[in-house]
Amino acid sequence: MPPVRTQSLTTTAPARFLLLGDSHAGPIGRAAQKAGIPFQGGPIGAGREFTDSFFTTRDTPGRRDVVFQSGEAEEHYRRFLKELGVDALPGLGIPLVATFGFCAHFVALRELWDLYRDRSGAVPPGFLATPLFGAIVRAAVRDALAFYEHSVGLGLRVLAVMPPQRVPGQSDPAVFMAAQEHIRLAVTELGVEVVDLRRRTTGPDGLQRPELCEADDEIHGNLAFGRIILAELLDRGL
Amino acid sequence: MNPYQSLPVRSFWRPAVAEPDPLDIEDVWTPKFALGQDDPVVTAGSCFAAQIGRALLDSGMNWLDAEPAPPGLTREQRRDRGYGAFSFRTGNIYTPAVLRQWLSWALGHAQPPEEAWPDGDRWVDPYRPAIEPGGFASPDEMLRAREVTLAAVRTAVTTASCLVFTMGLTEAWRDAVDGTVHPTCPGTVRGTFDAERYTLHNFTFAEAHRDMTEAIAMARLVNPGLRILLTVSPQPLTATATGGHALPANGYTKSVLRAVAGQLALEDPDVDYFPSYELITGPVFGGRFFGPNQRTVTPEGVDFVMRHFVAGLQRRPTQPQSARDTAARPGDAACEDTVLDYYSPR
Repeated sequence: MPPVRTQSLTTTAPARFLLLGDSHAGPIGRAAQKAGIPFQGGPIGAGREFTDSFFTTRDTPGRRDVVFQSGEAEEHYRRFLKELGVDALPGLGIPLVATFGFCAHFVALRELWDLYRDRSGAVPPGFLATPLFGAIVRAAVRDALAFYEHSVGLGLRVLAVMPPQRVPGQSDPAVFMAAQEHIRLAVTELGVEVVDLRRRTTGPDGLQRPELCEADDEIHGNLAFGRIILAELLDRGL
Repeated sequence: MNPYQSLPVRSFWRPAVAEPDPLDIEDVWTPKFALGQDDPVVTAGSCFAAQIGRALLDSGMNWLDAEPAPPGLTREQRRDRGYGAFSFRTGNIYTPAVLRQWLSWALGHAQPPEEAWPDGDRWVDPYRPAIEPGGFASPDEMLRAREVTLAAVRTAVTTASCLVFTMGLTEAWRDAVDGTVHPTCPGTVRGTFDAERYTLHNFTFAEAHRDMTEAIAMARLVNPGLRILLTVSPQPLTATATGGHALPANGYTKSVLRAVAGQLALEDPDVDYFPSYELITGPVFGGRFFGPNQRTVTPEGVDFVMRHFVAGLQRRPTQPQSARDTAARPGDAACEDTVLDYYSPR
């Protein structure tokens, strides 16, 4: 019997994308690792860290790089770039996949919207359709939008992944859905490719199907959700 | 008390099949073995199997794509070049013989022929002629690409918890020069037909059973825990080369394959059969899941099959529902089937 050939898919291949984001980036990265898809990156902080001013820019020999305010996030980011062999974001030659700004459950915290509730305790649908609501949401994620704008301005191909459709108890479902839609539109307007898999991942109620939910919490998608996102990224040529 | 009196509803044709709305038929498949959400599942087989991988993925299962497309391809390019349809880029594997052949090459039991078919100034792989619509630049490039696929087959078979294989045809073309089996008739998709070299073979039950048995044995040499889930493609054959009519030819093909799947499932506790064939072709469905050509399975049909698949995987152990004791209807006593029906719930 001839020997089994030893060529395999584990041969080191160049990374297909850089993944930066909040905890929702975790399942994507884990799915890619388990599938043997070469990439760099992962979560660099919690979602709430990416609503306030979380980055600045600084001049580099090419163009302006980003600098994350959080020491931990910046450390991760630099390590990822080093692994990719580039000094700064402008030198990135592969697509950037991000989850920043889509922490709609944080934007939709019930306590934040008490001022707008009607007598039944609900935030009226009419209010959620007002320009004021849209302006509030955009303001809440303005730095994430600025990050995307800066990245697209560098000429990078940027993809933003929408979050699992899970609304924790402390968040208002109607506000979550409305805020998420505003964020999606705002990100799209910036020239970012939004990865919206709601049709494939939600049930008739519009919420994440149970088999795609992380069992231990009420916010995150699980590895199976990450696999679906990864397949979509690969379908898009990453 | 006879054995039929304690059987569940699902065991009786009338209440389980004839009476419910066909779309509400349930409890069709009881898996022989558990399959966890993150257990890698590999898919291969005929056209119908190409739709299973993505459906598994979307249902939360871990479909293993061991040969992902290189970056930079569009969705259309990926599809045209055969990526993403099966767990590796073999193209359709219609017969157990071709599955056995791919595994024997990938796992080192045999060497694949190095012949490449010329196609203008390009080259085609005879064993996956639909791969690379534009052909390969040279025979060497074709062989290198095949090596990548063989490596992917190896990776898939050695890491999978379960191989889902959909059998589609019994008719295949044998090569008199090297003894190999071609996935399609040379000269149809690509290549040139040579009547002296290529001969039709319509596999018998015994041959198909032997080929599947050998394929499973080869796979388990490198992955002893591998479980096999067999299905039969409900898509009728496009044409028969036997000279007979396509309708009975299809009947022969599907009957043989269905019997092989059933036999293997009886023989081996780690081989199971999933009834995608029955879920599409069953008389109660009235052909509703076939497209206008009465052959292609519609997306609704695929969804229907996959719903049953996922429901089966996620089910709890079935508690048999006892049949209710009812009186026989007048005039039914002459038919044995009616006697059985007597014990069914009403």
